[in-house]
Amino acid sequence: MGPEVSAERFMRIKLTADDAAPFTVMFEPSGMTYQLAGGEVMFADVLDPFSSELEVVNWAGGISVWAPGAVITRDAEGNELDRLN
Amino acid sequence: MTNGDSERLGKAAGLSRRLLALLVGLLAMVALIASGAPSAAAQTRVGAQPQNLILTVGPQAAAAPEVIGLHTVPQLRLASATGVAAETADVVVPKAWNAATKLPSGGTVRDVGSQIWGNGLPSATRLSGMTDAELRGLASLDDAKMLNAMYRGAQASVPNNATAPIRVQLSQQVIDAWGRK
Repeated sequence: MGPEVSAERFMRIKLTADDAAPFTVMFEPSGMTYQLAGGEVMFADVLDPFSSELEVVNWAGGISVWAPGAVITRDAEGNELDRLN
Repeated sequence: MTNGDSERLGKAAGLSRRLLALLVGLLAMVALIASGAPSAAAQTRVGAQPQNLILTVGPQAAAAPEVIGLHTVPQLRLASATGVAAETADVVVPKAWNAATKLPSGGTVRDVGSQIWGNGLPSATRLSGMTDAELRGLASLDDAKMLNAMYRGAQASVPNNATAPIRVQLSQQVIDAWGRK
């Protein structure tokens, strides 16, 4: 179970780096980036998604997440990090 | 020992004293900074420690997080609410834009933007060496202006967004290429 959010419709994405596979997550279209070390976790809450489609693009060293809506990023404990778009 | 030697030794000693005083001063500054360092909670915030283009998620382990008491989702800050219009008076940035937002040409932020900065971490030198015609081929002037304004807004609303300034720079190169036509 991840951090709790209520009040609005949202979709939660949990992003986990495997122990030996650190990677970079970039949220589009804002371009905000985070680096997850091996074993680290973060969450992204997509608020009021305007579609049911989520696209992930893989590139050397990381992924881009095209979320269908504004995003709140959170650390593994659910603390808010940033509000994107 | 000659007089010259004594003079040189005296100068060296004076320099050593000045260096020591400088070192003490630097140590005092470091101590002051350390005493005003943010709390442990604040340090876990992503973006507090920029690493070139990439920001680091805090040291949290991968263990399942505890439920936290967040009960409301406040309104988001919008990129358009950051004074963008003042810098690009002829561009009106949509109030809430996303990947599917249409640019003046009819293309989306995603499609046109990707033409300019590609996928993955953008490089400030990505467009280096391109001719003006090639740069103009990446986006129309109006699209480039809109993207430029959007990412100026993104830069202002989320200062930790290290890629936004590069996207501003790249879209500006396209705008400049149109200006040289």
